[in-house]
Amino acid sequence: MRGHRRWWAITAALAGVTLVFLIPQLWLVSLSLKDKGGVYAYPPEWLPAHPSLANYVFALTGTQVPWYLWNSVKVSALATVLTLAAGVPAAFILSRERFRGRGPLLGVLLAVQMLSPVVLLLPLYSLIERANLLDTHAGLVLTYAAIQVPFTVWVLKNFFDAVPPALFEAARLDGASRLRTLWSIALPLVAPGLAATAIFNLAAYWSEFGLALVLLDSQSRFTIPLGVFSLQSAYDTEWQLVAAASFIGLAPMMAAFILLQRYFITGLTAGAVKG
Amino acid sequence: MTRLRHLLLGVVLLTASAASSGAQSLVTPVRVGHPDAPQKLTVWAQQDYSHLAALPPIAAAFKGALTDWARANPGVQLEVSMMPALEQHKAKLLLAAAANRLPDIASIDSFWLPLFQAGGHLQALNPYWPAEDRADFLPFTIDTLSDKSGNIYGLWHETDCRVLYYRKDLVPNPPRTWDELIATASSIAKTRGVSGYLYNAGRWEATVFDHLAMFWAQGGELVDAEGAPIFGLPPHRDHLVRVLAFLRDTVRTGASPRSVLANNDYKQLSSAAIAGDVAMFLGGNWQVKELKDALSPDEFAKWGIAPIPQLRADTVSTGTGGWVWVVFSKDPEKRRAAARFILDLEAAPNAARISAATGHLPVRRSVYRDAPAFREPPFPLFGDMLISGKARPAAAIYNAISRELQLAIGDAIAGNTTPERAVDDAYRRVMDDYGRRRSVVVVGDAGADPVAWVPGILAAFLCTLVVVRARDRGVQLWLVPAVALAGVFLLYPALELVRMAFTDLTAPGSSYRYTTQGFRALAGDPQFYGMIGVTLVFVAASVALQMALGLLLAWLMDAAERRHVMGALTARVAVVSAWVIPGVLIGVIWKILLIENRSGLVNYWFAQVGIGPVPLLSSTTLALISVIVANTWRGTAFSMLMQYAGMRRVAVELHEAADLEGLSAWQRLRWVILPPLAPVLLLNLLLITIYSLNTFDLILPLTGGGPARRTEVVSLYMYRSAFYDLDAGKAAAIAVVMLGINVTLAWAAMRMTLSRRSGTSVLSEKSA
Repeated sequence: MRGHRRWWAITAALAGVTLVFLIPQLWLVSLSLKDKGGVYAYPPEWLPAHPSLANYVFALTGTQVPWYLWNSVKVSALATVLTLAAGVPAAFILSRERFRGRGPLLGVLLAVQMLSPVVLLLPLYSLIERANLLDTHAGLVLTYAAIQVPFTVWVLKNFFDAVPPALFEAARLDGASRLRTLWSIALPLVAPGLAATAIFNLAAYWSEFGLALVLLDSQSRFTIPLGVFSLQSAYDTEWQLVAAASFIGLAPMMAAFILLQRYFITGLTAGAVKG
Repeated sequence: MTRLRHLLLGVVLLTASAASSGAQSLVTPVRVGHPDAPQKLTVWAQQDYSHLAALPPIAAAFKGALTDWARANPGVQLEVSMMPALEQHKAKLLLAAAANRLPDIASIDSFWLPLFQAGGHLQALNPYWPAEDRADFLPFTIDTLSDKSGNIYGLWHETDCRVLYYRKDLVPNPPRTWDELIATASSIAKTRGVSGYLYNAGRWEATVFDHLAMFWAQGGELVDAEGAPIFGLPPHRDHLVRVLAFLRDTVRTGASPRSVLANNDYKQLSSAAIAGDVAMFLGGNWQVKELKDALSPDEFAKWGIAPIPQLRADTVSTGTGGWVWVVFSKDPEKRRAAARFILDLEAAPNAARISAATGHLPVRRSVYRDAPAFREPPFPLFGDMLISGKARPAAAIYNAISRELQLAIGDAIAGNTTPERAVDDAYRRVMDDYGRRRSVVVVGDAGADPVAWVPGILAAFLCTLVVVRARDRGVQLWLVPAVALAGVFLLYPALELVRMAFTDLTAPGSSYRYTTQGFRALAGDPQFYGMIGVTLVFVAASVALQMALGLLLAWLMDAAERRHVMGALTARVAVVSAWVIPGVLIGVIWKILLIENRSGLVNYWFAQVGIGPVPLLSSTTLALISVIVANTWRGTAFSMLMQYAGMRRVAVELHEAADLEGLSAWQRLRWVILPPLAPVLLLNLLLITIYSLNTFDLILPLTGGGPARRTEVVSLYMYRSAFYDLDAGKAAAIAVVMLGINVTLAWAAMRMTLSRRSGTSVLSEKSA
């Protein structure tokens, strides 16, 4: 009986959380289904009298939103891969090996994690300019990857720490190289950590605005946040269109989240790995 | 995986179709003209004034005009880029100017012009522009953009003016003076239960610009002929004090609600009008269209337009803004082609066609005379007003003047200070700024400065040291990628930032000298300490709320998963979706929710139950709370995910044991969940402290830091200094202070946790 009541309490709480967190997004959806008059209509209508997908159709066919999406997919995916490629080996070494300068390195990584890209906008701009990488995706990908590397190393190191040392000992006795140990023993065990860092990184890159604004010039290279903002107007913004474009921009990220989050939910519950 | 592949495929197909549909055309989204034309010009435009406009009639007008131009000019092609609107566009242009990467042609807001003129980036258009064509333009459009030797640096392409909107059924005769306005508005507010008079008084440019007309009409001037600020000297000071006193009185007498302090967007005015919540407002001419689109014809007919009320009934003035085409190209051939493109695009027939589509005010007299659309009301009225119209002064110091007057107006209305003190303070600050800027001496280029090498060498040395000390070749190789990335893109810029903080640099790439004036200016600025206070409250509250909510949600999700309750994923997706929306957009969405008249959703709900209107954005306390709530709403996902992932590391067996023992929810949290979660919580705490400290993106559109400076966090101040005020040295100094706060907070957090539970810090070593 008690379990049943608790079940209901949890369900009700979940429903409440979902609703509260979704109010602004629901309003965004509602806006995106309206026409211009509906946007300004009073009293505000949650369900427009004549809902229409016209804004979505226009965003996908009449604007550059599909390009922006593609650019965002490309930049976020490449930056995530690069972050993990640089972060995994470092995290693994920092977790498994004891070497001189390890402590200071961990401290420095934590310290540079404190640096926000916003604070660094001006020097980063000069750096990318001198490297001749302004207005390229390469410049943006490198900068993004670097920003998330310390965080990624820290989180993954925690996951590697949780792998039982006996497993590595066994691999070493079998004569497995370090690379092989990482690839076939450690990585599968920290899959949830990889999924978690991938989600954190993707989300950070997908919604990043400040750096993309400063580092990209050509509309054909803009990412979704920039693209959505270039739909704004000095005088009379078509909010219904901005709302539709925002939603189109949100959808791939949410799909990626739903796909990836399964790994870090199921991964650590088997009881094989203890924290 | 298949789902992801389908998604990608869909995106690729859409991209391909978008690209191919325009392949034969002379006007594609990014190129105008023949793809093999030898001369290429880059254009930075605004979406609403281009062939990519969201409104089909505007897009069609441009497509027509651009196609004609491309046919007539087969040798030239344009590479067009639509820039994000307003301040973002300005920030980009300023950076590009410093790096010598400006486009050949750009459309800019008329009052940004002096910023580029000061750097010598603007090219004169008069050599290519026949005098008889210039004579067709409204005088202010030529005068404002000319220098003393008669060179003209831009072509004004559309303008606007400010007017009084009034409800004819409530206000039979529009007020002509301030006294009449206050009398009418306060009696309406008392008897009708709607706002009497609304206007912009939030933290943004229009707060100053809209009211300059009231200053100008008295004969006031902001700067003298040399561009030096004089608004704090008699008689100009008295004129300005009177304007501020009038604004203060609108709120004191109840003619206007305090919520005007949160108006940082013209849309807030028109939405109040559409919601039937206001009798009069000071708005822009373009808002006629918003009212017409949203109101029924009967309701729309109730609205009238009148000149801005003044101190004396016999004076008139209105501020004229608008956008300007400018040419940056230094190459003579390109410059000529660029100037000719602008002149062709804005030739009278095209200008008439485009203005008819935008509904904005043309700048050519012939368009008002010849185009039928502009002979009908309300355009002749606007045309008359433009004759007494005045543009903002073309002086580089105007940006600083506007910044300080925004604060002065906010402070005077809020009653924080008297109008006299507000004006005097603003003038003193502007003069400080003016003096500092004039003292900047050019000392050759940055390449010759040996100190400029220090950050790079230091960063390289530190990174090499870390790697070399590891000794083991295998270990070294595994560390290199991460260390190199962090070293080049984080450590080096951070050290460079510290160097910049000791310069008077205006923008990256410009000349500078070493000084501590940035730090001295901050240390001597009482407002800066206020901002640090606001920041600490904002960060502490955001962090506490996000940690607590995150823990609660993670716990809820964990419990739901273990009991196989449906909906955990949906709830997670809901929370996470708030987190991946770009912050600037979050600010815009929350503003729509929190607007302080009946058109704001939250206040609409309050009104339904008889509360309000609640000053969610204009009250000092509530505005800060609103900003914190919005930031918590956005940021909680991060804490939830981290803590949730941490909780999933608690073995199922432990929970089963807890079930057997019959532990209460609290006991389970305390003894089963929290101990293994402690390191995660600490890392989480550190990270969100940093994130919150650096957050300004959602504050900028939501409150802009207002009312006055009560929601201005340090990072917002830094961003403004760097990109609005062109004061990179000071921005770097602020950033260094922020870095100091960051490190201190992180250190304090770590100490607190360490002393509580020794041995569970993230820094502690696990025995291998």
